[in-house]
Amino acid sequence: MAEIGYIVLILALVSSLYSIVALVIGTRLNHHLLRDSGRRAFLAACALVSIAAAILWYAIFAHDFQFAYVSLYTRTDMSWIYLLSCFWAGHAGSLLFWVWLITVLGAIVVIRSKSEHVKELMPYFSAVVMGTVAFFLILMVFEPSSSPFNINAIVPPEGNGLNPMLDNIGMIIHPPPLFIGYAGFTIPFAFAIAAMITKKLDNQWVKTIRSWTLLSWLMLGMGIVVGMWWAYVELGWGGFWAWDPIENSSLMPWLMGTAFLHTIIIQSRRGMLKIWNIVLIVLTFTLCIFGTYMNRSDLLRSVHNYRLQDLHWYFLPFMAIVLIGSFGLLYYRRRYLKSESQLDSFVSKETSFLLNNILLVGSTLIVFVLSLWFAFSGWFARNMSWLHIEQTTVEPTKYNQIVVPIFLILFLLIGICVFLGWRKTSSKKLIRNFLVPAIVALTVCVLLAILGPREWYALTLFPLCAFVAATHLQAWYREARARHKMKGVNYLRAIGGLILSNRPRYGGMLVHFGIVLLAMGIIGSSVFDTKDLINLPVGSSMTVQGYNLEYEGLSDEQTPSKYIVTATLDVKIGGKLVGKLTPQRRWSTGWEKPVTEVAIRTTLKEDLYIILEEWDDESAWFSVLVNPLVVWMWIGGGVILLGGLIAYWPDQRKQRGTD
Amino acid sequence: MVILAGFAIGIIMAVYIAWPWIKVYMEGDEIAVDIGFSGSPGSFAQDDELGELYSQRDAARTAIEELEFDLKSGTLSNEDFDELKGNYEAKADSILKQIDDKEKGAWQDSEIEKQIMELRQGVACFCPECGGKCREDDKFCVQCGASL
Repeated sequence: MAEIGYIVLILALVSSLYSIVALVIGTRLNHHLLRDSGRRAFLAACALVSIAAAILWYAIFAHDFQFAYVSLYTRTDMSWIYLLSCFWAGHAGSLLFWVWLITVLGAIVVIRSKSEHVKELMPYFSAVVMGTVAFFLILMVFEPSSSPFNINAIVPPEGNGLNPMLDNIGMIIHPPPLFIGYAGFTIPFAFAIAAMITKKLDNQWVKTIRSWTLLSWLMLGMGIVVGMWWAYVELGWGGFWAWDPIENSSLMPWLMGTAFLHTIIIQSRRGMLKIWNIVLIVLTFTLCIFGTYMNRSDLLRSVHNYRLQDLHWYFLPFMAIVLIGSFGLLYYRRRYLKSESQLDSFVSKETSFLLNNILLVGSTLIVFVLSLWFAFSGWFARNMSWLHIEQTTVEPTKYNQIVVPIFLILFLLIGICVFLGWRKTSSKKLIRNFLVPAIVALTVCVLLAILGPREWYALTLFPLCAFVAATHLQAWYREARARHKMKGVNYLRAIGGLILSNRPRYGGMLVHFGIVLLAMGIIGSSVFDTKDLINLPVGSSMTVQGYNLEYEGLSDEQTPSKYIVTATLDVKIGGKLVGKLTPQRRWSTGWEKPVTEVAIRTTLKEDLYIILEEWDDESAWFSVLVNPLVVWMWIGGGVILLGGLIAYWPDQRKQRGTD
Repeated sequence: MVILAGFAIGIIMAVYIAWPWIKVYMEGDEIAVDIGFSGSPGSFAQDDELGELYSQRDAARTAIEELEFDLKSGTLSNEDFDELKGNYEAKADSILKQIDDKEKGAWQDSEIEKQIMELRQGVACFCPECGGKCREDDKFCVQCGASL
């Protein structure tokens, strides 16, 4: 069975390479048969990759330990839902999953292409998609460490199973959106290259890719937020973001994609920034590939790293081809990419988008350099010893010091841009619009100074959140009031009507509002969190940060695959029992290191987060963390998803001019 | 068994990809090969220019609509609105004028191309009596009725 999988991968590779040649030559020579054959080869490659994926999934569910990949990541006692996720648990499987998603998304575009404009781009679009697919297939076929169809010389009776750290619902809901995001950015990239080759560089291609870009951006963003949640509930250190290279590798294309998502609005509405948009999508796509290279090669030192040495020979040439080819083509086609409009005023939405781009691209560059500092500093240490630079990784605090201030300016910009119009905004009107949000921010500041935390960051960051939220609520209220007056409908229907009339705008506003909630959670939990290490004898209690914790004792349980030790704590507030928390330590069969299962009591105000550290017959040690406002991060993630889906929904408006 | 399965998948794939040729072979049609582009490069350049002008015209029209919305929604003062609207109306006028010129030119070009096409497609002779156009297989002139 594994051999068939391998043969199918080879056939898919042959088909994808033939497809590129047939599509390009067939289109250049206007040879209909060759072009049709190339299109068929494209679909055949998609089908073959799907067959390869089906073979791997079948082997996982059938516990076919002849497959080295299956014996490495599964066990016979795993539930079907975790077996499903084993597909993307390892390096080779995740590559197959990624390439399978590219073929699925690519095939959807090719099959659904109906308009004349899109049809003209299709041959080159398909060739670029197939080029990307061929890269992954070459990697899987020729690099033994990247093949999901390697065979065990001796078939083991039982597999290793999933790393206990991955034994979490996060394994099922975190990687798929992330990979959809990575794979999805291939679509706008392929459209950009096709538009450059065919010289169809008007604003139509940008309108065509909008929904694909939004979907990819949204999925990547959701993958990141779910990853934060997973790190928070599973890793047992109470945090959600550590600036680890694997986290950065998803953040970088997301930041670049965010910049692209904003500037394509400028191009589709004003015909500006055409060259810049091509640059952004090429970099976004390259960063998707680069992130994988960074984490799977031996370039860096990271807990997530696979350290595969031979990947350089595949990834570096591919990225070089992408960058040199794309920018060469861009240079060659530059006269078709002239701006149709010019900046009318500095006080305008265009300026705010430009500023947002500078900040987003700048922060991506900083994260890029800091993530690679281990490699850079190693090079300096080896080749320029007189500089006295030691090979080292960058601490998370450094990232916070450099990147967070940029994010705060971006955040302020979110609040400002909502009242900026396209082309020009009258300064007096702008100041008047900001009056109410400024008063709200000031009120929050005063209230915090009187009632709450008085640290300078609390007195600046929370009012900033209030300001951004107030600008959006005010804008929404004013526009709903205008609709209420014009249409004579109640406010609820006016709000609904507004959303339906211009989904991209109001979906986008909801996304911004979600970011405010996310920021509130991040600020609250990062700045005001507390951590105490306590020792509790059985039957005794202690009050920590207003919570009275009473330790009832330990229990243990042996399941077929795990040995679990559970501590039980009664949680009381003001003498009233509000719940029981049961932090655990688990040992999985075949794995030496135990896994910490934290116990969390979540409220809108804060999380009580307890980790079982050590124990003996008489007492136990617990880490007790109180993380304020954490739940608002996850609520914010949900609001971003909702807003993104509203914006993604096809806009039926016949007329423009209301955004 | 494995080789057989791989071979079978390969054959199915090859037939599917080569189907356009197989179909042509089975139906006995000729393979249509058209090397190069049809039409003159000049006409493409002109289409591109016109397309760009149409795009600019639409952009100017949208701009004026959006300015009106900005005025109503309170982001633009009356003075700024008048100034910007005036600018965009002047720009739109200039674009429309250019479009008119190009369209006239394009119409004249297309008339010339039409006449050349007619000549190529079958205007093989002229009537010796009236000088009118005629085809090779015409027995009488379609304009004066003279015998050819």
